[in-house]
Amino acid sequence: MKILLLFLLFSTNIYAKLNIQHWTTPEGAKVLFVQTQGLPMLDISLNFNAASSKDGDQYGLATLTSSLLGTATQSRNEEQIINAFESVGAQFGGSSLKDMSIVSLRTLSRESVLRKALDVFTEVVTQPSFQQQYLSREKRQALQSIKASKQSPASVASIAFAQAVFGKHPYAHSKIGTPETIEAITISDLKRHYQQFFVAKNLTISLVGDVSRARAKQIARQLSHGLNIGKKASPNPIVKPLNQAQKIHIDFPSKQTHLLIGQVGISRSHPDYYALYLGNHIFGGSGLVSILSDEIREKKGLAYSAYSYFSKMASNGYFLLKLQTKNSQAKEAEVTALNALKNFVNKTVSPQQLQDAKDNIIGGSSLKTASNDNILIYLSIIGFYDLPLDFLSSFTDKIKDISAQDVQNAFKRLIDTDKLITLSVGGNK
Amino acid sequence: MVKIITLLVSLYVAQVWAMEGVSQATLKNGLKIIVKTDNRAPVFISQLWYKVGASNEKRPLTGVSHMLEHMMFKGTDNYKTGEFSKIIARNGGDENAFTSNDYTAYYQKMHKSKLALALKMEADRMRHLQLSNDEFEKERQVVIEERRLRIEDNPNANVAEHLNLISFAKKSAYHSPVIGFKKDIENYKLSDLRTWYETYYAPNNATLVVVGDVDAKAVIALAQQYFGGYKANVNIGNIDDNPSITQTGQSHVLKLKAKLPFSILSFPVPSLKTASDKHSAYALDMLAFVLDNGLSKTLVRDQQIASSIGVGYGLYSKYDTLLTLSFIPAKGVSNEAVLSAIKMQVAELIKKPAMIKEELLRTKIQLEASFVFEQDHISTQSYYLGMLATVGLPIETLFSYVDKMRAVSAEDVAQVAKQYLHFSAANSVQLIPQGD
Repeated sequence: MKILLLFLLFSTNIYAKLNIQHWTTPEGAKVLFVQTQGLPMLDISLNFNAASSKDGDQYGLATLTSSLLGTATQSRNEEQIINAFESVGAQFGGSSLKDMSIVSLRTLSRESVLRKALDVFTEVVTQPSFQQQYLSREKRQALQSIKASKQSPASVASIAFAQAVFGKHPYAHSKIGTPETIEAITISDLKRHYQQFFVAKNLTISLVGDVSRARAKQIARQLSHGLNIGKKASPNPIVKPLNQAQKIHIDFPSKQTHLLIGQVGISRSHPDYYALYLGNHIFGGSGLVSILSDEIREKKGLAYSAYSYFSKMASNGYFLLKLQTKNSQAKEAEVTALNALKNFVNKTVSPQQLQDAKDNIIGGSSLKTASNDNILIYLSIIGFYDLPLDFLSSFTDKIKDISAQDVQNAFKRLIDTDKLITLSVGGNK
Repeated sequence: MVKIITLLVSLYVAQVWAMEGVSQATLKNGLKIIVKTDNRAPVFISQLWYKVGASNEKRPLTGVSHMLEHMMFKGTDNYKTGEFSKIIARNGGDENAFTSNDYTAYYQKMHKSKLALALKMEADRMRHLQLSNDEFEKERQVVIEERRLRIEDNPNANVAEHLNLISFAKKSAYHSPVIGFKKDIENYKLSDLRTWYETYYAPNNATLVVVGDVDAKAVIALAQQYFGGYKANVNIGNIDDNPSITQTGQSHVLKLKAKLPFSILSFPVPSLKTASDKHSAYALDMLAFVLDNGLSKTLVRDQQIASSIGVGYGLYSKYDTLLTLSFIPAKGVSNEAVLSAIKMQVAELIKKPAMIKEELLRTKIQLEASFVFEQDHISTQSYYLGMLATVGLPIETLFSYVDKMRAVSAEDVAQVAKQYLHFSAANSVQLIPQGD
């Protein structure tokens, strides 16, 4: 319970050498495959460029579409689908983010089991039947999720921050949607969203596990074969930088104030990507040993968790610093965190700080691909974001060469401490 | 069924044996060592488990195990405050710690070349912790913030905390929250932590678990080198055991500022450790799976009177535990309506066990597959090994689990449902949201 764990997708880390095999299916889906041995299992992740940023003004559409995958196909109802997966011990999952909708399968790799699991999985993804009864139920579930997020100060803060930092950009709205937008979504909206975005050319297939390359090829082929070829979704617009500072406070009946300070961030192809990554690692991305945690937690005991990160998406995401403290200390924590950030932007890090961070990142690279599960996430990211295949192995080389001056220059170029969003959610001081 | 090979390594180790890629040894000072080799990646996880947690605590010292866990990162005679984390980080490691009812555990995950460093540093803080008042006062505030974050500002966590308060007798294990009551956190003295540390942080109260690309003999030799010189705490056996005492028929209504209602029921049950008939503990575990699945199907997916249902059972608790049933009613549906649908389904299961036959079969297949999936992370593997050893269950329990579950019949499940699920005597906490 010492440190809160961060979401892996948002705080990608580093990499040992992986033998990544890759190809494109005849229908145009991109495939990345790593063969692993030692455990008789296979993980498959399908990442469609089909997420909430493609909702248009129908907020919640991508999430609802994703949640109906697995409820019915042209030949099976929901219970038959669930039973089919369960009867071979396979785990089916689906989720939708701002950039990607993910459908996944984890199964034993024994051929008799794999074949059955894969057949149902293929059917669920390629022949969904969108039915009113399931849409009505999932809408009600979505409304409950909205309520659940409204009773959590952390969720209220995250949603409000995204709205403030992304403004009119399609990243701005909550992927669950609002009660009004959810209510208006129909079966034909879901079908249209599915037909446009759940297509082969808009898909990255990642496979990790104990199967041969030949078998992996068949699997990828089977999955992409049933999909329309379609076309790649057009990229989201660039997020415009903020032109002035914003202070937002949301009253909330909580004992703590959740404080979020940030601004527009970077895309995965930003020229300063590595310098900013390393810099953030030193500032607020390395748990208790980071500068931010040291100032807020270790020196002053103001918060249990204090960290910062760059969200890394296709368009530029955000840079965000987060902490929670009792309401009466909110001001002190804000001043301390802001000073730490200003100081970091205005002063180069010490040689020791730089070396420690590099040693942590480089020395820990083997941990990041130590499980099939972790490898799968990296394959998805490499494939989905069109990163070079040697992204993992070249990462440490790129980090090695960065100087303290590079870090400071990159932060100075990006972070404008006069135009930050300062968002607080909490009770009376 | 489990193959046991006896190996004799050397004189300083009392005993060593291995099974399913797992080696075990006990140093003469009582430190247990468990090593599981996993060569898939050049990494290891090292976990040191202490047999102490919230179940050892009473007011006014609730949460003291967790508080001490925080202080374990604050420096020793040989390393300054914060240096532990810095050195591990500099060497590419991931580290953390966790406290629960029955254990406190510390871990480092690193490249295999760093094994000696991890063991050396973990051994150092088993005996050389420096508890300073300055650091303690700041960390006390950090823990109070942690309590606000995890529990006080989270309506459903409030409900869970209350469930334990009413389900277990005051002063018995599992009554108080792992993080402690706020009042207690505010009032411990440094000397309380010192006493806790000196009492429980001893080699004969700990288990070292290492999983990864390591050689068992090398791990044991390093453990001997770094921990071998410590003396056992000979008095540890004299501390009175404080088992849980479950209660029945307690209920509590919480009115909180929230948006969604939430309810939990609890039924007192034995754990695997405390059950006189071990088979019935596995039947209870199966009952939890079957209800979790079955109720989600009928009440969430079919009738749609609940938006979520979860069933839990503390199979590996050290003392008597609970089977819990929690749910969020769908909008416009009362708690009572959901509850009566649950009761009906349980009554049917008891009357006609045959109705769950297919589901039972599917559950067994899923458990078999999950057993493979769970080995994907070395941290999951080491968690189970360390946790079993710490609560006092043989580690073979992990490897025989799927077989034991396979042996559970529909009638067995119905039997434990009949024996333990007395709704009239269940404990319950209901959250009624205030101010929408």
